[in-house]
Amino acid sequence: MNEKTMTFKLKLENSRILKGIVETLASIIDETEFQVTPKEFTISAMDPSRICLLKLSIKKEDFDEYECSKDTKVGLNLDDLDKILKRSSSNDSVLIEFNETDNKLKIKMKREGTARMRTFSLALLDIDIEEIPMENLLNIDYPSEFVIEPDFLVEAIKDAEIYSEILNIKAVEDQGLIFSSIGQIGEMEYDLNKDDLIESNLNDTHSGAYSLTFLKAILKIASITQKLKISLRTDHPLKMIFNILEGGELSYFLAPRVEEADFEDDDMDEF
Amino acid sequence: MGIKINELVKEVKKSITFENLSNKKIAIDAFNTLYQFLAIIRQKDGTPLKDYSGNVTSHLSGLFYRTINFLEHNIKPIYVFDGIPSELKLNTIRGRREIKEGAQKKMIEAQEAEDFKEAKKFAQQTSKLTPEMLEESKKLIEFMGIPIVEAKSEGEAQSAFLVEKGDAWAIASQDYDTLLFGGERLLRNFAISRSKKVKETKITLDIEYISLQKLLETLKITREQLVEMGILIGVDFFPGIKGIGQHTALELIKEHHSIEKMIEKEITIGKKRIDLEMELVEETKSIFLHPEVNKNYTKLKWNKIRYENVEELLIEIHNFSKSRIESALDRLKKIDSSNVQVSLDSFLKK
Repeated sequence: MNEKTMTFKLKLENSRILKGIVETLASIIDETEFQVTPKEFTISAMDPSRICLLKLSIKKEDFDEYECSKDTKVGLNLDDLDKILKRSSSNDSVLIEFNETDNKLKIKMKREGTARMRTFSLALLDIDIEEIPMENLLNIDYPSEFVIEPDFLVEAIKDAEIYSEILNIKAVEDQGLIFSSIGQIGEMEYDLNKDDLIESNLNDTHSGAYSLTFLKAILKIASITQKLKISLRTDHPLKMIFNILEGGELSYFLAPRVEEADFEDDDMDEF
Repeated sequence: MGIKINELVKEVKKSITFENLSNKKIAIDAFNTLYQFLAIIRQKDGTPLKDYSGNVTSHLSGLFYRTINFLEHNIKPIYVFDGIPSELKLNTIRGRREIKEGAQKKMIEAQEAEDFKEAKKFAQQTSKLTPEMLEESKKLIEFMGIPIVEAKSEGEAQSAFLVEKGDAWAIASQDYDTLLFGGERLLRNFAISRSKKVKETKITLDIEYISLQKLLETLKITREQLVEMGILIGVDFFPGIKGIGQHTALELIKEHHSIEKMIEKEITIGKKRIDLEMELVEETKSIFLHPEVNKNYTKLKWNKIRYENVEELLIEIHNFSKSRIESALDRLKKIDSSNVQVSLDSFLKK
């Protein structure tokens, strides 16, 4: 190809991370934009009911190959990309390439130690993505913060699912963390004391109830990361940060369920 | 039913999903919806669903399952019931009743001849909503914790008022007349899931969202002119003028600005002069532009569903399948709790 017209080219030796990210995104939103700058690769996505928000950023250094001539945004259908990436096996390398002159994304997969190359192309979408004003969300002060193994959360989500659509999370100063769920048939509780937490800074008692439907979206990402930082504050969004590769991050915000009397949340906005 | 402007709205209508409506309050034209349940929810031969005593239950079935669907999607429905119909509408209603009586006869004939396709066609025209059926529908809505608003006259006018007051975000109705009443946001295919047949498979139709403001801007007319177009094309209160469809009406109103001018200028359609009694035109217009509405409805509240009452009404009184009703209610029980899901918006803005 003509190197001069190449707009960006990203390569990861292992397709697993990218597959997990795209599968997670595809479970909350149909279409999104890849934003690629000479320094980093980012995606922001909010689900249509505006209950959860994902922001992914991976630094240039974390890619095995990274070239980008200028800031670029490409809109695409995540379901289709998910299907394509699922065709890769975990030891395939994946190269994503975009050339401004044609309106397609190219995805190349190569098996480790072989020269066999599979090339997929994906038509881009002309989508109008709303700019999400994240500043206020990022500035929320969280009194309870802790780092855990993502597997604990995965277990808690699957345990809670037996009983209801809601997972309760409670963090108690000097004690630890409790995941719980109550339903018609009974209830579950999952206690983690301070020793189970990799790091923690817990002040007072903070708790929240969160929808499992949205929490389940992160199961895939949890299985490919080692550390998860959770921030909790009563009546505020749950914030989770997954570390991706060396310097990358996936931030996930989930709006809480709150006592009806305290909160008038009539959405009168246009979409 | 209602004004036919399906072609004219094409440019402004938007396809949306239930997810887009999360946390939003939607005023549902109850009559319009119940009639559609009666027409659509039927057995193969066209007979509506009935309980052991022979009472029709299609409307309750539709109401129950659809409302559960709304609640599962975090949507806040409001059912708006028509009040006393205006004099002018009575003529249309009488006309409809005559059609129904004719259809009833034909349906029985077709059933006897075992022509089920024909029978179903006529059966759909016989839908009748009795006062008892209305009462039961209201009971079910109440048991499900959904607010009801009684309109003074037209349900669409009342719904438009709710939107204007900020008590509802949009109006769900199949009827474009809603726009004439000033309903700012109209949702079609919302209260009833509609499907069409494409090559032997059924495709569910998207929810259509139409903004009145956008429609008027696109057509470059005022709401009053849209109402006059309605009079030319035909609305519930007025039969319209033969030979004038949506495109002709738009051209006429853009060229002459009003019906009064058309009469003055002696405009003809297919060699016939547009000859309307201005008094009747004004009266019809005022039904749309200055409708009678109930301004003293109680504050809208969404209560907890009363499971036992719902089960009693549907299973014990009307012989619905116990297992199906229970499994539908179980879906709700799982999401039912003392708290409600909020969106991220309030945390993004602040």
